[in-house]
Amino acid sequence: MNLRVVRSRRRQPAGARPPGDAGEAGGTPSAGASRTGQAAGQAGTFEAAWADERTLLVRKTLRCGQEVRYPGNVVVLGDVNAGARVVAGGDVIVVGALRGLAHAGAMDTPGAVVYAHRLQATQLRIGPTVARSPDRPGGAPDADRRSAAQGPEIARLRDGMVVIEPFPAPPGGGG
Amino acid sequence: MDGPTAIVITSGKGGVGKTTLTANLGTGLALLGKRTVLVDADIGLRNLDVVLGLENRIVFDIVDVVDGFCRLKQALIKDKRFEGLHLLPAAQTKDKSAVSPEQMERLCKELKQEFDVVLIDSPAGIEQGFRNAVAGADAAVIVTTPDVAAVRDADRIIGLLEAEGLGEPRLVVNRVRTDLVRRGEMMDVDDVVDILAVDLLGFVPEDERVVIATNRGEPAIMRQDSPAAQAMRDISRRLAGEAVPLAETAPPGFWSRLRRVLGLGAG
Ligand SMILES: Nc1ncnc2c1ncn2[C@@H]1O[C@H](COP(=O)(O)OP(=O)(O)O)[C@@H](O)[C@H]1O
Ligand SMILES: [Mg+2]
Repeated sequence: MNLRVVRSRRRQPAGARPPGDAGEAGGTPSAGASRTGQAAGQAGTFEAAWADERTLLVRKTLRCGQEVRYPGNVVVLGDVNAGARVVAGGDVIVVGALRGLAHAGAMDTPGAVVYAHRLQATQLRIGPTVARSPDRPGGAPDADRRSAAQGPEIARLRDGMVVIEPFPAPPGGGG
Repeated sequence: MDGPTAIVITSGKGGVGKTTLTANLGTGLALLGKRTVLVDADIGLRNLDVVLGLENRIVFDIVDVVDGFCRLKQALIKDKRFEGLHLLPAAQTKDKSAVSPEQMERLCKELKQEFDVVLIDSPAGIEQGFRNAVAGADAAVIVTTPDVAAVRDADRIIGLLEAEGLGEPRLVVNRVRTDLVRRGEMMDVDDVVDILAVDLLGFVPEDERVVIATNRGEPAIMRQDSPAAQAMRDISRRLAGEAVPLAETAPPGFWSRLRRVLGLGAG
C-alpha cells in the first residue's frame, strides 16, 4: 500500500496532538478539538499520521463533555461515558463500557474498527459511516441497555454498513 | 475524618437535593458532635437559610465577609436548635462574580480553624458559582437523582472535579423511588454507580416528609418516621468516618449486583 510511502515522508502531522498530551486528555478538550478539527479536512495529512501507527493510551474514564482526538489508535482503559467522545484516525479500543460516541477511521482509514468490552454506544462512526442504535419505544431506561450488552463486541464496516459482532466470534458463528 | 475538612455538595443539575442534603447532613454531623459550618455558595439565589429556618437572623453575608465589610464571626449564624451548627449565608442581592475562587479558598481555610467540618452548598451549573464552591474544598459529594439527565450532569461534574484536584468524589443518589425501580421504570442505585464509577456514600428514598419539613424550616433528619431521614443519618455517620453498612436500606438491585460481584451468577 502507499501507506509506507507516506510514512517515510512525514511522521508528525500538522495540527495533531503530540503523544505527550495523552495525560491531560479531556482537560482542555476544546483546544485539542479545534487544532485537530482544522486538520480533519486535509485527508493526506492524516494518512501520514495513520501510517505512523501510534497508539494513545487513556488510563481513565472519559466523562460527559470530555473528548479525545488522536490521529492514530486510541485505547481507553476505563469507560467512555455518554456525552464523551473518542475520535481516532485508526481503531478505538475501549476496555470498559462504551456509552458515548466513538469514531474510528476518522480519516477514512480502511479497516478501522471499534472494540468495546461493553458496547452500549448510542452512536458509532466508522470512517464516513454513521450507525445509531435502534430507537426504543418510549425511550426505556437503562435496564435495556444493560441487557443488550452481553460481552465484548467489535464494530466494523462491511459493504459500507457498520456491522457489530461479538468478539471474539463465538465458535461456529458465521462471520 | 482526620482534621478539619471542607466538603462541597455539588451536582451539575439543579433541584436534585444539594441544599436539602447540606442542611440535613450538616445537622447530622452537628448531632454527632462535630463543630459544623454550612456555607451557602449559591450567591444570588440563597436558600440554605430558609431551609434551616434562619432567614430572619441574617445581618451580614458571605460577600460582606470577603469584601472586608464585616468580620467572619459577625456573619456566622448560630443555629437555634442544634449546638455546634452554624451558617454562613449567601448574599441575595449580589451575583456569583461578587466572590472569587481565591477568596473562597481563604475563607474555607479560616473556617477550618474554628470548625471540624465545612459543608459548602454549591449552585447548579458549571460556571463561576461552581468554581467558587469547589475552590476551598478538600473533598466533594456528588448528588444526583436516578434519572438520565441528572446522571449525565453528575458525570460531567466529576470530570471537572478531577481537573480541580478533587479526584475521588463520593456519591449520594437522592429521591430514589423504590416502586418505580421495582417496575423497571427508574434506574436503580447500582445502575447509577455503574455509570459514574465512584464510591457510593448512600442513597436517599423519595419521601414527602422531606418536603414538608423543609417548608417548615426544620431539617427532616430529626424525624423518626422517615426513611429518608434514616438514610441521611447513616450518610452523616459515614461522612464522619463511621463504617455504616449500605445494605441496611438497599433497594432491590443492590443484592443482584453483590451476587454478580461475588460470582454467584447473574442478577
Ligand atoms: N429525598 C427527597 N424526597 C422528597 N423530596 C426531596 C428529597 N430531597 C429533596 N427534595 C425536594 O426537592 C426539591 C429540590 O431540592 P433542593 O435541595 O432545593 O435541590 P438543589 O439544592 O439541588 O437545587 C425541594 O423541594 C426538596 O424539598
Ligand atoms: Mg440549592
